[in-house]
Amino acid sequence: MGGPVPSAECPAIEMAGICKSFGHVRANHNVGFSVRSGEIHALLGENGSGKSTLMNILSGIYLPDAGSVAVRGRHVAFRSPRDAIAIGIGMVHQHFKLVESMTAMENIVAGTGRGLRLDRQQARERIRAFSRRFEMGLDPDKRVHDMSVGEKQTVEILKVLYRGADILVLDEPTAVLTPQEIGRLFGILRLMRQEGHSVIFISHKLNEVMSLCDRVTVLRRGETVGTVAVADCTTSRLVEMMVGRVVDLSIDRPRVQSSGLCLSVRNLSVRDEEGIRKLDDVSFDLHHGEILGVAGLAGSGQKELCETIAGLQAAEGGRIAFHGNDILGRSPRDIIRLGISMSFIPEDRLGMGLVAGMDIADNVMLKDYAFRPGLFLDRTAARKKAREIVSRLSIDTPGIFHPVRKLSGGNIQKVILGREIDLNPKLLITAYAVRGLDIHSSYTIYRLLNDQKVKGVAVLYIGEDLDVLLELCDRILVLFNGRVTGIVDARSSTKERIGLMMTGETPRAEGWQVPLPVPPLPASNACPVADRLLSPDSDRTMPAGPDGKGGGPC
Amino acid sequence: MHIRKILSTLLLMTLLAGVMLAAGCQSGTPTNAPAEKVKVGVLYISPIDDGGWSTAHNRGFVMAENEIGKDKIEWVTKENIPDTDAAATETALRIMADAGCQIIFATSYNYMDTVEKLAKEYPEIKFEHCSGYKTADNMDNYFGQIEQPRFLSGIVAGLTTKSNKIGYVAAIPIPEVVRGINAFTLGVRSVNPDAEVHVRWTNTWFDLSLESAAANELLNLGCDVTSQHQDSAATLKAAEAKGVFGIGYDNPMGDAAPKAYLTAPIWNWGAYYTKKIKAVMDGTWSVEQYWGGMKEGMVGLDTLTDLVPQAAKEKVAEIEPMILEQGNDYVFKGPIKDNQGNEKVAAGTSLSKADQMGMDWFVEGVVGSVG
Amino acid sequence: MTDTTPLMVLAVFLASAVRYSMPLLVGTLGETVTERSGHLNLGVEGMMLMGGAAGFVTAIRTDSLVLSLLAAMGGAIAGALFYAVLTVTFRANQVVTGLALTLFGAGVANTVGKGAVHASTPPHIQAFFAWQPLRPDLSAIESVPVLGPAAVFLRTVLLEYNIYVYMAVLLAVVLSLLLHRTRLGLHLRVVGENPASADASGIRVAATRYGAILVGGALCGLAGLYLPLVHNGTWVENITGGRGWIVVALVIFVRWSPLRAMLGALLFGALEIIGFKLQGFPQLAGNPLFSQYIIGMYPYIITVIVLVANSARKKGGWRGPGALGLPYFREER
Ligand SMILES: Nc1ncnc2c1ncn2[C@@H]1O[C@H](COP(=O)(O)OP(=O)(O)OP(=O)(O)O)[C@@H](O)[C@H]1O
Ligand SMILES: [Mg+2]
Repeated sequence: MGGPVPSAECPAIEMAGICKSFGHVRANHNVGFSVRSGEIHALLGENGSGKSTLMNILSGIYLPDAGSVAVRGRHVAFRSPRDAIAIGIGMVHQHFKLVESMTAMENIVAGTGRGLRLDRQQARERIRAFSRRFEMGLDPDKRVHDMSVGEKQTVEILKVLYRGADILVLDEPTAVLTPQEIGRLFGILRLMRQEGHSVIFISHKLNEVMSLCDRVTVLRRGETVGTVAVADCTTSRLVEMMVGRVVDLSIDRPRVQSSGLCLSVRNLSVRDEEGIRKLDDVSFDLHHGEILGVAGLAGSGQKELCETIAGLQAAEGGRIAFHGNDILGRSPRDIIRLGISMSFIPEDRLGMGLVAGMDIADNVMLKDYAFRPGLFLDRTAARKKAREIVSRLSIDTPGIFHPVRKLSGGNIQKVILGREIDLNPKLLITAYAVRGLDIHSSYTIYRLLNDQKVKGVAVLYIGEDLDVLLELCDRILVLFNGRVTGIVDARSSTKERIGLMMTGETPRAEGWQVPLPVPPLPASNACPVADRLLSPDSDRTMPAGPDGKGGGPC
Repeated sequence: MHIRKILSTLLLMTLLAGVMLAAGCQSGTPTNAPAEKVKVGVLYISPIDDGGWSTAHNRGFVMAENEIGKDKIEWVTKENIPDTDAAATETALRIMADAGCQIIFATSYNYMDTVEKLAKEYPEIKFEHCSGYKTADNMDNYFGQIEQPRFLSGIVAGLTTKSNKIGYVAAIPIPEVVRGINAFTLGVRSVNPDAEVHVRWTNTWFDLSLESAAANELLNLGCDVTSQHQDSAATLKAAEAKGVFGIGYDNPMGDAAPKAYLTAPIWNWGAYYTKKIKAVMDGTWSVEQYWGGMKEGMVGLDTLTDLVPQAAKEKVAEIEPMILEQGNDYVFKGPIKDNQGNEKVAAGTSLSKADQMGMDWFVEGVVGSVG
Repeated sequence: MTDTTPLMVLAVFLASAVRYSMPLLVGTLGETVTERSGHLNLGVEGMMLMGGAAGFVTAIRTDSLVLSLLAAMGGAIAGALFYAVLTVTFRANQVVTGLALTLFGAGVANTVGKGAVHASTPPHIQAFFAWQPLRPDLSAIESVPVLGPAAVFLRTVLLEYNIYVYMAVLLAVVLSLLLHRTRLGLHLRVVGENPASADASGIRVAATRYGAILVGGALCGLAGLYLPLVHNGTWVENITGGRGWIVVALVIFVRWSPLRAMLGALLFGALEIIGFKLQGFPQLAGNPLFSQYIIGMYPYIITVIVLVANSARKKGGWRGPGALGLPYFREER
């Protein structure tokens, strides 16, 4: 692979008049897109604006309906990804395309080379050399299913580098990486740029775009809005281009009169199937009208915390009390009936809580039907609800009968969250709600959460972006290796301090609010004021408490 | 996408149509011709070229056709209808009935209940069921006393064996098969009281691989003559491969294993079929529960080959007239002990017909168990 | 003549189990290749029959072993091609297409084979398969105490087979190496695990699948030919008697491994004949566990147990080709 000649006249990539429709959905319409050699070019746009579609066309996965693609001045018509690879285009896809049961090496080598012979030793050496050069520390013989998400991403990137790709496309590579991993990735990309390669970078995190990229092309609803140089641009200008109007990017944090204790967790410990301790002596309180943030590195116990409260995972010890009633050990169904609602957006963003092949209306009905009497489903009501959710969250879909699978990643998430909120919960648990969402949608979701809080709902918000946690939450609980390293007041804390706590430092300095140890639970079956304060229109009756006295609102 | 769907559906349908055609073109054996004739339905359990049971029946129908005249009979036949599949049986029988058959022959035991059901529905049609016991005004049954040639073939085996171990590959443990094994063994022991008959059940009437597996097991035990109640020549072939001798069944089977074949108890249904079809034509058909033996020519022993020892040939020639005369009474003449040593038939008497029909024990000399 | 010491009885039993396992083994190797590419072809029974009929009829018409082998592969490949066009190119449902192929194959084979019913394998082909190329002459040591019987035992179990048996074993080893040690094998496995990944890596998904299905078909054809040409020496309708279905179960039982296929086929082959051995023990006669009918179910029972055990595996454990049975649409998601 000889170094490409950087030249202003002959761009590395020139796409013009690209159109692509899926049924009635116009994913790309007359898109023009041009990338120079030796630049990092960002591709921005809201969820469903057609970024992935455009890049899939560039890498030969989709055939465009119309338009032309030129690589280094030569017209090309890719019939398959093979053709694109042959010309030096490598793409890291938004959703991993790896074989879970195989090793990193097998995944990387597949599709390369000719002939029958497979020289494993040589391949291994080459991969080691690459990973040394880019400081990636990848074990070529590790199986993908044993890898963390970050490692999987590394394999995807190495796979492209291994082929000596000259034009690199990265579709939201940072959505699942830790800050350290992101830093390392940016190092690699800058190196590539230096060597004269072109990089196309898709992300919803504007600060990343601002610090890494040279130029930005913005798509809106499948059409090109324009290309600008990062140097002449501001974040709010980019958002305006994406959304089509000026958007207020501040998160407000209404103060809500505390209206009583909602959830008390005491000394909670959880082990996973393999006996590894995932939660260790976790205690905290959550009040109505409050958003409690949970910060922590990936895999610090967030998932187990959510699932244990929702009744999906058994605990080893400790107590969880909801309005004074012990809920540990109750069935998930009971817990939902009590008014606890949980949504968890997993790292692959699919496969949790939605049936991909079913349409939006049916998916909405899925969670609702269990609580309705009778044998037959009330489809009319479900459809009405689905329409409400679609308009309230501005979900980009041709209609409520569109299969969920075909929505863009971000829109799928809106469906999940919309459905949970629709159940009028008293306690709302959301994990990674804005993973992969565009800025506009993220802010829509923050606003929705604030609305819930003002209504008196207690919100447990598990998030990744510390800036957002600090702006949105009232208090922040920090997890490290399943232990609580502290609970801080979000209004008075800083990113650096939380960052430290996330790596296990226990706060000592003054001014840090550490309400540990938490007082023991009141023994009486106190009936909180909260219930009366809470939505008087709530018509859900509460089942009898474990003591048989009836735990309903008194 | 839509074109793909349509195309693939079309292709699948072509494929299925091919299947239907392949399945549907089962030919009636004898040829059809127009004009005033009797319509005869025949239901076979296996293909008529199975070389065994169905081939034997088909031989009978060909003979009937030659006797009565090709232009006088129109056939509606269905081959390969498993008698354990009541639905398939019923469908096949209905096709025949609706095609206007005046008489229908159902040639396997388990067709019985379905035949009975349809006989009620179609009172004008005469039903002939082979090897069963149910009757009705328009439903008859018929069978042959194959025990008689089996006894004679036992004599051949008893005088041929040197190891005094004889193998018997048996299909399904029902009285008909048990009776055959016993008749054969009585024949063996009448000339060679030291010989044993080892039995292996395959639980199928027709499966080459299983039959040969059973045969090989017996041969590995040291048997040097085989006999069989199976419809294929697999047992004979296995014997031939081992360089020993075998006795066939149903039809002359010499061609399949010329180096091993001694003889075979065979079926000759032709005379009965001719008679019954004629009776329908004349309007003289009646229920008679026919159970023919060697005397009636319904069963017989195939010509003994040159591999059969002279002594055996002579002995068969000596006993055959007595069987022609006394029939099954000779075959099952007391004293008979079962293979546990209990006396089942006293000297001077013979096993009653009812006991023969329900036979579920082995005579002395059989090694094995019923079921 | 026949040695009835327990050791020799065992040896003879094992040797016959090996012979009975041959169509199962070769069929399993074929279906393994097919399933490794992510396609579940339930038409094994149909392809075995088509291969068997084509090969046997060719053998008795032309008297040529080579033509017979080619015809057996060709006949089965015709069926496999039909399946491949429908499921790879037109993405028809694999289960339905496979079932259709079973019916279709049986129909065609029984029609083609009509003329060959009761014909015998030509004598020189019979002789070729009676030849035991590796059988050593042990007359010198046969009468030596211990050593003699041991040598005869080993000879009976290992060295008294025809060439088909040795070829099948060789094939299993070669396929295993091909699958795990070569680039071709890696590509085949990636296609079967995750066609989207293969496609994005530049592997030709459709071509690989066509190749695997056709090779799988050819092997099923050779498996089908064994029964009439080598084992039974004659053709009858539906000669496979459901062995194609046992093969489908076996592939799961051996978890898509050509090497384990040898052991699996041997076990299932032994189950096919063990009933006759057990009938020699009258004390087992009344025991329903040993009735011939129940023994016929053992392969399926064992497979169900393996299936359950397989899906109860810890997460991360391999449960077979990831994309098995799923059509691949490049632009679909
Ligand atoms: N294979 C497909 N089948 C049907 N519809 C599709 C397909 N791929 C994309 N779409 C639709 O095309 C539109 C653009 O989707 P695309 O994935 O390109 O958006 P995106 O900009 O990458 O969004 P996100 O930021 O959420 O990943 C969406 O409405 C999506 O539902
Ligand atoms: Mg995308």
